[in-house]
Amino acid sequence: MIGSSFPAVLAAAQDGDEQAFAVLWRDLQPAVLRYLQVAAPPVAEDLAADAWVSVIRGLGRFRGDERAFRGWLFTAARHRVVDWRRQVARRPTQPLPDGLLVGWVAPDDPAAAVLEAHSTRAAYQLIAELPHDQAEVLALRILGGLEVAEVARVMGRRPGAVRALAYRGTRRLAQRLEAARVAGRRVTG
Amino acid sequence: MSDHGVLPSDMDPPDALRCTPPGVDFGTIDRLLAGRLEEADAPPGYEGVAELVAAATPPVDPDELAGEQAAIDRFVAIARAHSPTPTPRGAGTPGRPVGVKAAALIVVAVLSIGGAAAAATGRLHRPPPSGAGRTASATTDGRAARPPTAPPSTAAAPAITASPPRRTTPPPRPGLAVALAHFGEVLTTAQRQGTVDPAAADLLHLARDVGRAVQAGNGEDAHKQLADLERKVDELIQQGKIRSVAAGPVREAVAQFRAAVHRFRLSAQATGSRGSGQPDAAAGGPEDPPAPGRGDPPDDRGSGQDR
Repeated sequence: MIGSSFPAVLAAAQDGDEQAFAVLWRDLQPAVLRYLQVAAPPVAEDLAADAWVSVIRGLGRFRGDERAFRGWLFTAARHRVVDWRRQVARRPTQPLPDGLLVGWVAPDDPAAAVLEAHSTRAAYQLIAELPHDQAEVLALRILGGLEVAEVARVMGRRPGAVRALAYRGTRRLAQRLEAARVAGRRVTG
Repeated sequence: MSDHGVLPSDMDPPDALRCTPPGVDFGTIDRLLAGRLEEADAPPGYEGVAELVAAATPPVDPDELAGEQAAIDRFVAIARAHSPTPTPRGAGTPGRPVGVKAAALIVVAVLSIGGAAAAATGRLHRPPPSGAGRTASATTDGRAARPPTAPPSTAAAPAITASPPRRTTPPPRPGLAVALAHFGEVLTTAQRQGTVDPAAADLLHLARDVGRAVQAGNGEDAHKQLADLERKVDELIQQGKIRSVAAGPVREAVAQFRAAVHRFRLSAQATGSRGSGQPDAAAGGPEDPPAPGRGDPPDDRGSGQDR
């Protein structure tokens, strides 16, 4: 979070100050990239760039605080994800180019990899394997750093629905991880 | 993400059925997902989730910031395309009287500089009951009351090239608060990387004093304090408290800060009244009506229209 200097940084960025924009970008890019690595892993970086272009184009009209700005960026990112998923669904099935799969080799058992190696990649995979809505809510909450009400705005759903999805997704993750923990104990014991 | 409501059968070990965690309240789930519960503090059955949250949110990796220059290039290209008549930054309108709103915004700028500097050094003080916090939040809250503006159209946006030509026109220059915030960021980043001694945090206090002096119209004081700041930077570099790898970025940030101070003084002189330059917080314009509490949609679609 940028904190108390956010209004000044935002105003400067709206005024064309590239350093101020860089401050905004550096603060939010890791979070949005992580969210996209769960939501659209093969094209995460491209979609993040597209989301920023969308934000830059509307920057002059943005009014709001730092939390609103974060939500705005994630709304843009999510729109890109939705577009990408539609495109993928429309296209006939094709093998992904090898280049898109570099660095996205999932561990055999992501739950064990999270518990034993604290693997970030495995953590993303575990979230991504949840039912779509639950995965999206958890990705926005955990990786995007958004609160329930903010996730609700980004997804266009009621906060109660977001809370329920988070609850179910968390329980499912807990179940999966606890099973891996028990299995690990059995192996080592 | 899976599109179905159940996990694929080959992903769940049979143990999963025997490891159903007990129910917990929404508040606990919130704390878990926000990373506010350590593994040791997590309720039984949810320790793994706490571990997962920690694994999923490591410190920022430099690779995650690899696209910064490309992003800035896009920003510059779009900003230029949308600004056919460039206006020098920091130049106040000569002879324009300073209104009450402008004066209030200047106060906000001064206070936000202090806040940024304090935040950057980790020495953020609790705001006085009727001072900075209230002024700043009044501005924010006031903006939050503005009716939503129309979402920007993307139809007329220019095509973005991967590497637009740069520096064909003078680049935008940072204002005082931004230059100070940047200086603070450079210092704190270097401190985290261990290339700057914690003693260098005093530099930020010195810079903040410079900002206050120049905004109060005490140009001479600001000039002397700025010289002290630069001398102190040189000393710390010579003493090895700012290591050579960090010396360049720190010096560059100080130079940018000096330039911002200089511009601020010039604009203040141009308006003929002290502190009447355009501080960063006033960039929205004194006449700017308040804004909504949340951002406009980033394009012409509302959120969540996909389902």
